[in-house]
Amino acid sequence: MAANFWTSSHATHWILDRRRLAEAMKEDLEYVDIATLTKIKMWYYNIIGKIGKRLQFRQQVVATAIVYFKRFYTNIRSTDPSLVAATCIYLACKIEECPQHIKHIITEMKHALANLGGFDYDTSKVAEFEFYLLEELEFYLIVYHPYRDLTLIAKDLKLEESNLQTAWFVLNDSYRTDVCLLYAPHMIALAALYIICVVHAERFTDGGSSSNNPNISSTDDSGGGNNMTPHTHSSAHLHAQLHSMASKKGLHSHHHTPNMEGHGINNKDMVQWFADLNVEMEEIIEITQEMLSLYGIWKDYNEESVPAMIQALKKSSRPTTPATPQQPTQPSQ
Amino acid sequence: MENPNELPVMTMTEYKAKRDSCRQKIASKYDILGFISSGTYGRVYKAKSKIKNDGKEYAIKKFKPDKEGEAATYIGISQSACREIALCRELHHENIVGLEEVLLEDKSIHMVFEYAEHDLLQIIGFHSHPERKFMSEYTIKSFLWQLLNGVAYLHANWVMHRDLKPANILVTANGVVKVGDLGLARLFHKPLQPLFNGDKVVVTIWYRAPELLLGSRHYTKAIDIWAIGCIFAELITLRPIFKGEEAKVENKKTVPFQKNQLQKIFDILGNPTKERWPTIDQQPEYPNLSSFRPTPNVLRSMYQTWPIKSEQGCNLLAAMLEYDPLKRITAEEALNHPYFQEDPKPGLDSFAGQPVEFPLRRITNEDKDMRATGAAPKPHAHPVPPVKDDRNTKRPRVE
Repeated sequence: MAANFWTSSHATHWILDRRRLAEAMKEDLEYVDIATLTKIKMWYYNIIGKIGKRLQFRQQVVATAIVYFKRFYTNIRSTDPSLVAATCIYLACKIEECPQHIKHIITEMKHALANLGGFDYDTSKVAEFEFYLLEELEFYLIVYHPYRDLTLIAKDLKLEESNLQTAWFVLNDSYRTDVCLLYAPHMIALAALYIICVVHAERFTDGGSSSNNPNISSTDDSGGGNNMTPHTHSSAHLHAQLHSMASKKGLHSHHHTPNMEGHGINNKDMVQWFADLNVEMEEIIEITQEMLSLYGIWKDYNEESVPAMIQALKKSSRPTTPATPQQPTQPSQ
Repeated sequence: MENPNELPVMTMTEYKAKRDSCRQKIASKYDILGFISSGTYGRVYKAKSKIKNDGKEYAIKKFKPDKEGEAATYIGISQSACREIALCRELHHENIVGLEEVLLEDKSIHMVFEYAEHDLLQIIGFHSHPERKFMSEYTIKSFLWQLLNGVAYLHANWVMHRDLKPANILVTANGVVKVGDLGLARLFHKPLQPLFNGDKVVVTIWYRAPELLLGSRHYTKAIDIWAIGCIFAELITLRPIFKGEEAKVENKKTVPFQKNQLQKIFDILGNPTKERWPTIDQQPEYPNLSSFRPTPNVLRSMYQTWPIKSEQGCNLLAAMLEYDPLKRITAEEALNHPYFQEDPKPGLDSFAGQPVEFPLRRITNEDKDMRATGAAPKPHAHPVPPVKDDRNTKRPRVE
């Protein structure tokens, strides 16, 4: 288990295939399109992130709570995501060995939803719901995260601190997609590295209008602090760049490592390094596409507009418009 | 009109009803044969599968709901149950008790474990009463090797047990050791906080390593090896090697200095010195050591009087009871110790060739909670009372 991902329940029970994931989202997608659904979920991930920040959790705790939330969800429509989110946080704290009193989490939930109808559950309701959550998780509670893989690879590659941080932010962002349900953590870590290589290459072809590295090192949330809030100063630059890539023809035609030279990363080494990897490059490209697709949706994400979307999802008894062409989780081309 | 910024009210009634209706009843899957034991965590029952007709038996551990305050509000699954579920769901090893499944009923978690007929506490008790009759070296060595094998697997997977003691070492009717009760166990790979912050007191006092007794904040898996050393000695002599008196916790914030337990250790191993344990002066309780009078290390001369004569056995024991956690032998190294190369070699059936027949675990029908549904247990010639052994293990709760 802990020493071997491949024998863990995460690997044997909780890496889903796309068909199963699409099946799970089918009902919700009868009511809203995929971009709206992504935004709704993002909104709840942000709530989990905000509470994690207020209670000063390590990133790993927030990540585990978000993974529980994702694993729980068959569809949003028939359950209350606020209660699910609160329960995920409570359980993740226990499993990550930093238990919090259930009352603190409820207080924070009430605070986060203060202007949004509040959080109308008491201790016993959250505690009771923990049973349902455990059952949906099939009692498999240990979750692997890509952060450790990234740190190991970065050490191996002697990656510069600033690049490691950028890749770290990409990993934080990856929790807004479903890649953690579809791919092994080390593949996600590799994709994050791949993305920062591409960012460097992209900057080079754009005429190097910016400094060598994304302007992120000025923030204080390195090494496990949490930055789940979207568009923090730290990652805004990176996001802008990834947004622009997402809207261009982007990566989809590259099925090889982009050619990068003369940048912060020792690119020649990187090219060789990716080429020598004995992994499915195809999977890394798929993860990268998921990420770019996220950045595309994120570009016009507006926190305030989401509650109305949630209402639309919950209230409409029948789909009002024909569902948008269903391409669950596949990034738009 | 409703506020467009407000979230719609969502009831979970439908969802819950759907989940509740497809949940299988324990009684539909298992016959409860009787009650085995109880502890702070809850109660354990012996059961048999109704579905699988393989005659396999199970131990169902029913957790008491974690409550707090006078109103006894239910506050969710205890930290100990969380750990045990999370870890047992991942661990699969011949010498670690296997978790068959987890069931929910009656607002309680039920963990269904493979059944083990014996445990080392019961076996040691059987050999001690009414008169002391020592175990064979083959049996002791087989228990020890299998125990180390299970713990080596835990350690390789970054799991520390933190409560090894005879009562938690189960043995099947076929003489196979199963390390049980992972309620205090945890992962120790890059912990987010010092381990001490989570649980102020770990391991039952008699099996507690010196670094824990001296207040170490960043203890290691070596604490499990110390406990195994104590268990090894106890298997040989049938008496706890360091039978100290626990200083009681007076308030929850401070952990008392366990002077008596340390004295028992020093009486046999001699005082720890800077030569034997170079970083001993960094232990929080180090200043307290000046109050102990100097004593010599008498472990080897004591061992001479014990029924096992192997010098390698003594070497292995001394290596497990090494003061300095860094010098203490690891589980992996211990498995390769010359003691296990000597005859009698350890075997998979620790009872092989045993003339004694161990009594079966006694089960009763007295329990009113989960009533026995299966056939009444067969009476046995040497019934052992149900074990109630919460002795001294602290399961601190979240403050």
